[in-house]
Amino acid sequence: MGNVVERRTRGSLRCCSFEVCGNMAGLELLSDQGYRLDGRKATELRKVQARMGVFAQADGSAYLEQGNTKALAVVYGPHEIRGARSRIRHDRAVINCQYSMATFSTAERKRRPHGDRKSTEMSLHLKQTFEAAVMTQLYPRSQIDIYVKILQSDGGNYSVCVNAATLAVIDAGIPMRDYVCACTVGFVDETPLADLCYAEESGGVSSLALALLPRGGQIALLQMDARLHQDHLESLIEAAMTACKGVDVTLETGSSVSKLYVTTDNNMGLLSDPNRRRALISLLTRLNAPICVVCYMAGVAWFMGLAFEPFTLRTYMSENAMGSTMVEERFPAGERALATGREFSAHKKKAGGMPVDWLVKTMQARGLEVFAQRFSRTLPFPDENKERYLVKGTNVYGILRAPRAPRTEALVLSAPCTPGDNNNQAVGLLLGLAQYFRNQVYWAKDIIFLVNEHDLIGMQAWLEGYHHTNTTGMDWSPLQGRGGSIQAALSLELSSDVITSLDLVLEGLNGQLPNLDLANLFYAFCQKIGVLCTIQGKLQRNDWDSVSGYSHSVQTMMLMVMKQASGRPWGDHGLFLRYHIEAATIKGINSFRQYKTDTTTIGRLLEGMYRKLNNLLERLHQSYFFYLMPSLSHFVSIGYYMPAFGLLAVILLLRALDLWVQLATPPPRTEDGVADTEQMSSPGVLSVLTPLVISHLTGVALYTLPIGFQEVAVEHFPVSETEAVVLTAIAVYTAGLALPHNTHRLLSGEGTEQGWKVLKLVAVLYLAVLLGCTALINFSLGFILALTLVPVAAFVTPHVPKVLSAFILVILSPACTLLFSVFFFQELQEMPVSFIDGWMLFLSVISQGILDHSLYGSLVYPLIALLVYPCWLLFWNILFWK
Amino acid sequence: MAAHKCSYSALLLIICSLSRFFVADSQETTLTGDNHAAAVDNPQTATETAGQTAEQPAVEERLWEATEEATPDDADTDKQDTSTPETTVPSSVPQPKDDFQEELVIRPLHSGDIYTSFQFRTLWETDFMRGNKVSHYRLFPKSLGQVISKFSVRELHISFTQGYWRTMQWGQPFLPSPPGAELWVWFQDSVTDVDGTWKELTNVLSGIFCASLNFIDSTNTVQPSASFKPLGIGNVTDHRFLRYATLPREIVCTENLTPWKKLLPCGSKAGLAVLLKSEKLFHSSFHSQAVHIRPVCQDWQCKTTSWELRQTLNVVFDLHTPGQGKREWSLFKMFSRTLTEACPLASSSKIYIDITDNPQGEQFEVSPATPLLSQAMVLGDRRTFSVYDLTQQITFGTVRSLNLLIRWKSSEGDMLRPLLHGERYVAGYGLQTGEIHTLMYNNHPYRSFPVLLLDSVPWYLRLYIHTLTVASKGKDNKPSYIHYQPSKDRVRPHLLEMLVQLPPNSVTEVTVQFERALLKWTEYTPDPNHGFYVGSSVISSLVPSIVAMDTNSTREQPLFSSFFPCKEESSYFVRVYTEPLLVNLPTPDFSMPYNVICLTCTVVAVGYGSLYNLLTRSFQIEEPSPGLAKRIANIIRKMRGVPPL
Repeated sequence: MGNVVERRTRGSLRCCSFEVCGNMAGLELLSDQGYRLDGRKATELRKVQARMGVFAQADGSAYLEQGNTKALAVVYGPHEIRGARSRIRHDRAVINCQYSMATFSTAERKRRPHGDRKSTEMSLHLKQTFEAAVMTQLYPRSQIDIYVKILQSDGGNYSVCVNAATLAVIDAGIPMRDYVCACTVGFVDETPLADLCYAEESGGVSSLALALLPRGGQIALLQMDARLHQDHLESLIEAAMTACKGVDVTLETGSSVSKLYVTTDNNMGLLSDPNRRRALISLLTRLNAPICVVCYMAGVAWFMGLAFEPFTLRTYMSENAMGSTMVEERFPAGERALATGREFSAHKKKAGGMPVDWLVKTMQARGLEVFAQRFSRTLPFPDENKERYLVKGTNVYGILRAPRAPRTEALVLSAPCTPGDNNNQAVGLLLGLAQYFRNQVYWAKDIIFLVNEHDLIGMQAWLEGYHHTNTTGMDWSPLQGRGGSIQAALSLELSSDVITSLDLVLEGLNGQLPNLDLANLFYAFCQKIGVLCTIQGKLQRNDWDSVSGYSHSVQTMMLMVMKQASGRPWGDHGLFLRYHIEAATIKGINSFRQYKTDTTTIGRLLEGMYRKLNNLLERLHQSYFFYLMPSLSHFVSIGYYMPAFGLLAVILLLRALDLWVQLATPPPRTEDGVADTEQMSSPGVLSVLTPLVISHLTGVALYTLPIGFQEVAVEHFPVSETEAVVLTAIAVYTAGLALPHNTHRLLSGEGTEQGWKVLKLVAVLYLAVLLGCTALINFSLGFILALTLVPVAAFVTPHVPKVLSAFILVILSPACTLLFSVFFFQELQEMPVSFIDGWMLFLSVISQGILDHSLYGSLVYPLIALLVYPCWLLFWNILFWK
Repeated sequence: MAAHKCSYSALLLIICSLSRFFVADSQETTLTGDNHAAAVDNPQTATETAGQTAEQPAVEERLWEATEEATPDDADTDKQDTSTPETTVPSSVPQPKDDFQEELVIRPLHSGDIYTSFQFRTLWETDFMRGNKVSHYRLFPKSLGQVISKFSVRELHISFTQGYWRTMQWGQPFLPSPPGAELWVWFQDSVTDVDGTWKELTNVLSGIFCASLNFIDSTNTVQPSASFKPLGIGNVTDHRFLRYATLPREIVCTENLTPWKKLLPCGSKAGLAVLLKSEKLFHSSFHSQAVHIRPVCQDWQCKTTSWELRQTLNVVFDLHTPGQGKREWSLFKMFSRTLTEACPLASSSKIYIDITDNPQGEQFEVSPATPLLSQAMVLGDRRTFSVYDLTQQITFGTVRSLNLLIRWKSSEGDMLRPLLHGERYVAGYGLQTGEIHTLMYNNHPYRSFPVLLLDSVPWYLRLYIHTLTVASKGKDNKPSYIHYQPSKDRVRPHLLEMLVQLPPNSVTEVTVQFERALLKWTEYTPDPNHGFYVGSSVISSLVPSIVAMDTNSTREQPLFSSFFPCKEESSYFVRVYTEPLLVNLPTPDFSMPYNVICLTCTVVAVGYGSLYNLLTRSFQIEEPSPGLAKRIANIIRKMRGVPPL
């Protein structure tokens, strides 16, 4: 209601005002929303486009577009006065202006002779304007010619000419007091309109042209043709001056394309808005430390929250081919399998190793195609845990050919032939299953029954032979029979006739995991058949809401994280994963629980699993490949656990940003500030490069020396080869700590404040990239390293207390992380060890890590030695920066 | 240069195929015609005139009791032939122009499996290629006859196989075939647009056999230069008229068997075809059915030609019984049917049981016993067979049905060492590169022989042909002939043919590296994670025979032994197929597009938007916005109609 009233009052005002109204020609020059005919706002200028130096012959030239008005200005001079010498002024130059319009410049083509009255008038105006602006007194007895031509006219001819001429004069290099900027302003509806276009001009608006020397605010020319109420003149001139200043800014920036926004109402460019950017950056730098602390806490809390059951997802079978159809499992021959196992054990004892002949014969009797593979391998140094150095062995495998299958797909069931009384039952069950499977008609994939000697080494030999690759330099005889591409594999470990539960092992080489569907399959069949199943040796509990229930699942998840981080294969299946074969190990556990399961039941479980795998139409790919399992029925997918790492990694980025800002903002300038910064940046490259190179060389030494120098070490010290390797590694590691102190000797000058910041920036970014890549491949390893290294990276500077920080730094170094992990792992397994035992375990873990690398291609040792340790050394270097 | 080499190497096979057909096959056809006549006539009169026949049958059929000699010389067989009721002569009855024979060979294999091979042959003396349309069909299936005349087919070989023939356990099959479907066709040289005709033909055959042969297109069709030569008469060996394609993924089932059975004159109503019950045939270790059409000579001089349609069905039954259980099989156990009669339209209908390994009956026992024995050269080996002639009423005995039964006495089986076999696998890991290994075993103790290796690899495995190595016994083995046609993406596959000499008692390994191509997203199959198939490679060779062959080439031979022609008696033709390969290509996660769209939009919105703003915007210091008081004052002024401050 009020709106209507207001409009009416406005209308009446307009009617009674004596000015010519905008809507006389049927046009509403200013809409109610405040927009003009061409969509501009009242104070908005037209788009300005300009080019200077468009002509080569002239001394100066410019081309200017302002909206649709286009003008060309050319300046000659200053030169000697031509023609009437009477015009010579002895104290200043004469400015000669000539204005013309092209015949095609308006809507109606018209011949425009030079000397028409309008042009003459305009020439005169221009002349007056530029006489006021150009410093004519510098050029006595000379003449400056300014020729302006309107190529296209769309209102505001005068102002465009002035602006173009200004640019041309500048181009000619003639000094002016200031830019001359001109603009026309009209007055409609009590509102001044800036930069009128032709439609507005011809609409009868009373317009005012103003040429301004913006810096001083002096008016070079003011022209007004129509009538205007005196009250409004002030505001109109004000608006014109504002508009002229706008033009000035545009011309001054010299940009060829520019659009002027009077208001920044666009939210899109968060970063493109310098104010907001500055605000954001200052916020981040100001609150850097608190944000980092919060991020760290949040990261750890997030990680701990992953084990909380309501936050996790229930496992479900994603693969349809393994989903719905449940069939009756009928494997009957558990007792006979055990008898076969006993027979196997007897033959094993007799043969003192793998009873190859017996196995071949037994498998052949069960209707399999049987082949054997011999292999040998010399370890780089003796493995004291398993007491082996020169390994020679034979793998025996039988292939059950599926009827009417073209040998393109296969499944593998393997059981290791281990020395002693272990795993005999597994081999017995394997042979029993082979016999049973042979008589079934439903197989669509070949099934390979493999008994591998020397567990992982044999498995490695077999897999390399099967895929005809050689990544670790092992000797093996080529395989004679194959079954196409292997789709899935299970490895079986059973050491007693009766078991209480089955444990599922998933962690493979380099922390690779099989597709989650394999775990789901195992879980589904355990549920169906009624076998207790565990993961990490932990049963599932239902009381997640109690503290003990939660800590139970945290323990389970932490065990998985620790195992995955170790990067070693935790069962024979671990080596399959490299070949894109989904595999898991099933371990039979006999503890003191009440619940007993006999071999027939396990056989039925395996039968069921293999029938499901047999149904697979595609490789297992539907479910997750990256996950953590706080219990067998729940999992944490990559989308849930990555934020925990991301929160830690963001700390590094924040620190890097902080350092970058610190480096970018110049220090409080003195007189010789420029020279100062130059001095600072010149040692920059060297001061960064030297520590980088030295620490990486230390890393290379850590990687190569232990194995390379074992013989020398054994000669000179009373140690075994294994001890030699481990102790050399520790020695090199410790020696690396001393190096940074000497780094500076290689440098020419003193380490500067700027220097360590640059180094830290590099180190922080390096660590961020390193951890990011690691976490993508092996989340657990990345997360554990991030937990310890990120605080180091975040807060180390040369200015913190040396002794205390050095102690903290050492505590958080990769080696100590490993030491703590060993204790923590034992704690999780509920087998706490004393410090001495833990230390011995720590040593053996190091030797195992080196062995895993050379035997199976585990990447954790080279990662730590070649990348993580050097990175840590950089921070150590920063602490002792001088 | 390549063409020259090609023709040179091909010469061997061409000569081999042609000469053999002029000699042996023509003999066979005349005689089979005779047999038919004899079956109609009184067999007694036939025996009397048998002595007058100038030709000598290749199959010597005689009473085992009549002579104990395992290898009788020619004179002996001549005499015995006169006494056999089986051998016949042409009578006064006019020969029908078409003729049908059926045959079942049963061979107990070393592994304890049973190999049964059905062969049905229809011969028709007609010319499809003449201008006049052939419209009256009797025994020859009309559907195939029309195909031959419409598409100007000279030879057509098609096989559907489910399973892989285990050469190491089963020895050589009578008719080898690769897993999946295989089709190769020689067109008449009058065909101008071979590719177009081939395309149409595959589509028509796809309809006839209810198979997905329509998936044969230029990306899996090759023109082998030497490996596949015409098996019938004809002297055009220009491989422009040859097309060869395999579909390794084709699954063979009852829907393919039914149309195949319909091509038989008796259908599955009578004769041996009553045994073809799909529920049992597909309950086996290996199943292969094939149709071969070719022109053959009608007589000795090859004055007239006739068309031969051979339908074969090979099945291996798995009769593995674990433990010490009794091993036995019977027709009823295998096929759930017994035989009661021959096909009335057949001129000959026989069952052969391979008893070579069982000369004294020590291995197994066959019942009912038969007095007829036969010997034949099969794949370089002299085999002895018990013969049951279904056209004789005696065969069916008093119960009027024949149910053959074999009981094993001992159950020992050892691995065979076939003279030639091949193996193939993909080496390496990861989804970027790989290596195809083809192993060819020559188990002959002292003779080396050349083999032709044909490899057709789809374009999405980009072969690095410079990495091709051929090595035997650790030494480089330079192929004497290489024909390589590089692939074109999405147009044609790689074709690699090589003539390699296999040293005696050796393994020759051919390796070539490849890179896995990235497919366009619509080119993935509905189950991309299953992998992509690479068809079997084909090894064709003349393998030296262990047994020296008879010099007498005019004998009649059983059908199963007379398919592949061979000239040199001391060697025989063998074709071995390796396993198809299943190769995984880099496969996108197809549930990903949604995530990708979300992610991309976010990145574009944040990143591109900011950047675009930065690039296109110029900055200006904003007019300081008027203070609150001024704004209020302006509003009031506006209401009053006074210009704002």
